[in-house]
Amino acid sequence: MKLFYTILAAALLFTACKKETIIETGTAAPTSGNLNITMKNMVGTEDLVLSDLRYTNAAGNLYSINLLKYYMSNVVLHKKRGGNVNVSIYKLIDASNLSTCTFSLGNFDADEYDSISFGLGIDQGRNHTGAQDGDLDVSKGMYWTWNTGYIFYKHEGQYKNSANQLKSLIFHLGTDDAYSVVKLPINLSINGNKTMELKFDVNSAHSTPVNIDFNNDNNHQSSSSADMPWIANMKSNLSDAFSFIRVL
Amino acid sequence: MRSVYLKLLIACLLPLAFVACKKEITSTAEEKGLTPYNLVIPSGLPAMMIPSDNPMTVEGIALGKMLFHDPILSGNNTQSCASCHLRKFGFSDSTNQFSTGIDGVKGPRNAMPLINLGWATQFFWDGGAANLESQVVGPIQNPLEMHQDLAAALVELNAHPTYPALFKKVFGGTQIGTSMLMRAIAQYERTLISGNSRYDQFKRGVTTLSQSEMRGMNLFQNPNKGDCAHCHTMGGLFSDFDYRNTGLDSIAVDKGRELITLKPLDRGKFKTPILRNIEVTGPYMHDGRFKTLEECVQHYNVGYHYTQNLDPNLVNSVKGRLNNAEVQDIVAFLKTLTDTEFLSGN
Repeated sequence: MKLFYTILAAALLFTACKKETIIETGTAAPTSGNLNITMKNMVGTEDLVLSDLRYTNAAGNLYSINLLKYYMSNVVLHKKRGGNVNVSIYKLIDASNLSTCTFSLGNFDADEYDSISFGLGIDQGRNHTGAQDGDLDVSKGMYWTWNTGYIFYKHEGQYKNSANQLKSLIFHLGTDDAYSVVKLPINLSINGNKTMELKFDVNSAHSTPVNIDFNNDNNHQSSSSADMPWIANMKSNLSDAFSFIRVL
Repeated sequence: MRSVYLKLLIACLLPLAFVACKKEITSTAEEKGLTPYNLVIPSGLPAMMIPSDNPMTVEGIALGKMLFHDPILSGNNTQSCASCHLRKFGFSDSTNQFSTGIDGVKGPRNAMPLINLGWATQFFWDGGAANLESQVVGPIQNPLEMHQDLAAALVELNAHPTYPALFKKVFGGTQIGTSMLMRAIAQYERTLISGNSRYDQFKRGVTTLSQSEMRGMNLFQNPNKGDCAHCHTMGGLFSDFDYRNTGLDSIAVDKGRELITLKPLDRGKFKTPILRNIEVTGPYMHDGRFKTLEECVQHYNVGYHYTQNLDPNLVNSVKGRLNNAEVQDIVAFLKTLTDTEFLSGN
């Protein structure tokens, strides 16, 4: 009886707070590491320079980017030998603030990972929940107050129209229909702390696979049924606008 | 003896096993020194669902009420929520068709009454706000209403002599955040419950209705006459919280629900408003076009247009199915939904 109580007490004490990860000691190579993601916002092969009328898209429009912000969410790392690691994260990337462009995904087991997927925007389950904190705080300028939900992708700037006049560009992409999952091949081995660089190409977002001419599409705020074709086009273009650069 | 000591030891250790992980459990209102709010639901109304991430406390509600009445939330500190939502008008904007914002500009829709919001599922005339917490920041940021930048409002609140301590008490943390502002005002708004009108008292058997009011109640529910209860459901809430085009215009001036869903099928659709205290919440409809309840009832009797998306119930209705006396009876019934206790509260 005494033994029974002792075992019961010991079992309860030691199992109650079982940690999710068990740190092994005595091995030479690190068995896990922190993974940072760095988003490189680019136009073609150039690093993005804000507020400069210097870019030409595939449709031949000269344009600028004064503001570029987007949400990355629900990251999944796929292991080469099978299996996934899911990271619940809602990260707002703001091209005007480099500190937002690098973020930690947390600690990962030492392993080989051959692809990454992530949501561009906010999934339907979280898009309409309202009072939230951190990057989902509604005071971050990425939230529609008349229509509960997040702006997934925001690009504001200017372009030269076919009559050579300078006009404004306003692209606010959102609604549940606009949420897309991006999947990229990567070459990542975790054997210590790593930083993985991913590229976002704004030109690609306006050209591949659907070529968008700013003379026709220059002001879309996802607020009218007339925006639906543009939403569908941007959804497929954005899925294709990211790529793997390297691991540091 | 030793066995007794052992049992005592185990008795002392056992609770440790369970408290060791306590930090993972959300602390209750009492643990934070807050007083849980005793929400009293009048008989005849269903249970109210309170979101699990915003439990109601006496302190949270008091803070929400203070914010609701404080012009600090507007761009130039001249208007509060209460400026356009006045209790004696069922928290609507007196007899104004459209409310005037801080910049002197009028909005395009009639200020909605704030009554029994805890049972509603979406907010604004087009249902654009998915929940009560989300609704809070709409009018604050709307350039035609309180026209304030949320980040600027938070700077002001955080620099205020009393708000930081009040928020910390209710929500913890070191800084006042947007989510706290949303939760506090929503807590207060959930307390704006009306359920003691003459109609409610009649249902409880403590008062009687006049013959005209009784006829009106029957006409209200009769599918071949008023057919009002089809959408303004009986059972206490007087709304199905759905969206309908009621044929106010032959071509919808305000796209309504379409602005939210982006679906042309939703053009000109608006939320079924609740009817409680309808006597004092006029003018009526999303754009306040009707000054009297008679005009409203006559719209559904003879006035509606056979527009695109017209609600099927109206498509199938017979125009002129109510005579003038019947219209008056329905209006008499609607006035039994006035809750003087609610309207004169503080």
